[in-house]
Amino acid sequence: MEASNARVAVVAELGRKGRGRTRTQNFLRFLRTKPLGAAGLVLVSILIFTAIFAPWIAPYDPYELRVDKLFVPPAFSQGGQEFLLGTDNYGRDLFSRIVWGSRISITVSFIAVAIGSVIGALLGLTSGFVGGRFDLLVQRFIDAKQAIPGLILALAIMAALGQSMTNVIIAISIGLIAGQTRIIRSAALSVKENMYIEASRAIGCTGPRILFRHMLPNCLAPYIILVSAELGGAILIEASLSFLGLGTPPPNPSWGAMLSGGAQQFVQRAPWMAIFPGLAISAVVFGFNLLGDALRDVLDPRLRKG
Amino acid sequence: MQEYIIRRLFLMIPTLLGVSLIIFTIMRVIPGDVATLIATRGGEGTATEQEIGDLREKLGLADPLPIQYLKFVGGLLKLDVGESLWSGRPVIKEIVSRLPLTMELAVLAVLISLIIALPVGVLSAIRQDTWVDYLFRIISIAGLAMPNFWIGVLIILFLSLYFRWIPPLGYTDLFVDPGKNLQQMVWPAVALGYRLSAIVSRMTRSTMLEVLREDFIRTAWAKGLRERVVIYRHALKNALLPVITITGIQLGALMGGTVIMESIFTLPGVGRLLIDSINHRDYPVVQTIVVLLAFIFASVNLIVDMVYAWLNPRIRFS
Repeated sequence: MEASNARVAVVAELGRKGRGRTRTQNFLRFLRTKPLGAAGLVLVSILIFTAIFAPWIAPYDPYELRVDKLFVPPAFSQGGQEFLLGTDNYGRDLFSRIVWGSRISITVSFIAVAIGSVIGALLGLTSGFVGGRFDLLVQRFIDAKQAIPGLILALAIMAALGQSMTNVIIAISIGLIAGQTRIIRSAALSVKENMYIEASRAIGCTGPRILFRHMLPNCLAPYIILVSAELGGAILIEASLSFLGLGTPPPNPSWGAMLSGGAQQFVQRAPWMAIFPGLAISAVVFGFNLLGDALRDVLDPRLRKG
Repeated sequence: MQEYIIRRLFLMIPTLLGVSLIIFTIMRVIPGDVATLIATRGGEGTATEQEIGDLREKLGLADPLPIQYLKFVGGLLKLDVGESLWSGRPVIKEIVSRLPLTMELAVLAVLISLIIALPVGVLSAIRQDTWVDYLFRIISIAGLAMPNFWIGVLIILFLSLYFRWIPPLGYTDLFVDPGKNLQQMVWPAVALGYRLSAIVSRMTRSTMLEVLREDFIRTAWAKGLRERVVIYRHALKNALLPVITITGIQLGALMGGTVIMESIFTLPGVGRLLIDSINHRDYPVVQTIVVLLAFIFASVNLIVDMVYAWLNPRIRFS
């Protein structure tokens, strides 16, 4: 009952917030009241911008090998040449590789989260709405899935499917379904108790209509909160898989893969190889975490400071 | 309490059956034909129909799927899942011989994280909104964003640049040479523990803040108790419950972390075995390890819940 009241409060709150303000005004208000969230938004925007305009931002071909330019230090350090962040053990420009690598991170995380969260949300919504044996079966499966550590499950799926970017996306999205299902199911269970659901049933709405027109929109807040958290997580899993040599196959400039092999082998000779790709991953995940926290504060009234 | 434990143990059965079914599905149904993959080394080599057929027979892949699944579960229950395709040794033996290292790494990581997180969380809470609090919070948010393999690589970088020292490669048994063992284990454990400590200290801080506003804390102050007694005996003791739970939940992530650390620091643990087996397409080993890790994860969560129930009578008797 308490949860259902809170849900009603979310809806009321969203309605109240929207009243008399345009979307732009709401957005500016978000930036003003949540500076950390705004910082997160900036980091995420930089990532998306970089990924879209990679060919124009990257000064060199990320795959070009230069035998005469191995281990060139970054431009700003002693002995640096024209390469902003230096070159790696094949003489490839590190900055260009990081810029192009953003495309891999973005593609994998956005598509994986889109697939995983939509399937999870639909499953959770149906499971909560239908209830009964179907719900029980789905819940038992989710218990089982949650007992398998995330990275281990992704590794097992990659082992079965073989190494490719598509398979990384599949592995990550399968891992995301369970968490999403559970959260949306609990939201659906509380929304189901509301008067307007009973009302729509009374006027003879069909099941799918109630599900998609009345329940789905009211379960959106927890969905958005979870998605923003999952995007950062998906980037981390892609990087971890590639780091272990089981993700996006070489010579693709995946940030995770850039930290294994040469970066460790030549860590004393070329420390920049071990620093910058990791910095890129951390900055992006940091951005998604900040954005996610701020969205949670805004969308979930239980966590808002009085 | 007894009834609670028995009920939870029974609930574990469908979970573990589900785990075995999920792993079985992933390993047998999705990939198409495992035998072809193994015989051709992942499509790189060639193999005759005869070779593939023999291998299929040997792996028991010729049986109908339900029979295969029953054999798989039966093997797990009898602790006899056949031999590794790579080394030829019994799979269970291979895994069990590497388990102590992984356990030691995980336990060390949890210890390190608690040693860092509890004081940091408490200090952040009692000095809320001061520079100490902000500093700790920034460090822990950064810890959440840094992938643990990067922390591992940075530790190697730091040790080799400033101390010209790289942890001794390989593995020495704890009971043979504890000093050398710790030299090898402490750094991967620090890398894992730092990330965990970020999560635990955030939790400690927020539950401490809640508890410190309770009436009984005001009473404790009013009685004139010393700060240490109020903070540690009255507040922290009550704030620890959610902290224990979140540490248990994080164990799953910790297992993924041990796989990565064993690979960076070349430690021959279960995680290393998992990666090697994936690369060798040694499917019996891969699926047994995954089920085993899920079993450990589920058991530890059960133990965490029991500790929780033991500490918190409200749950025990509901």
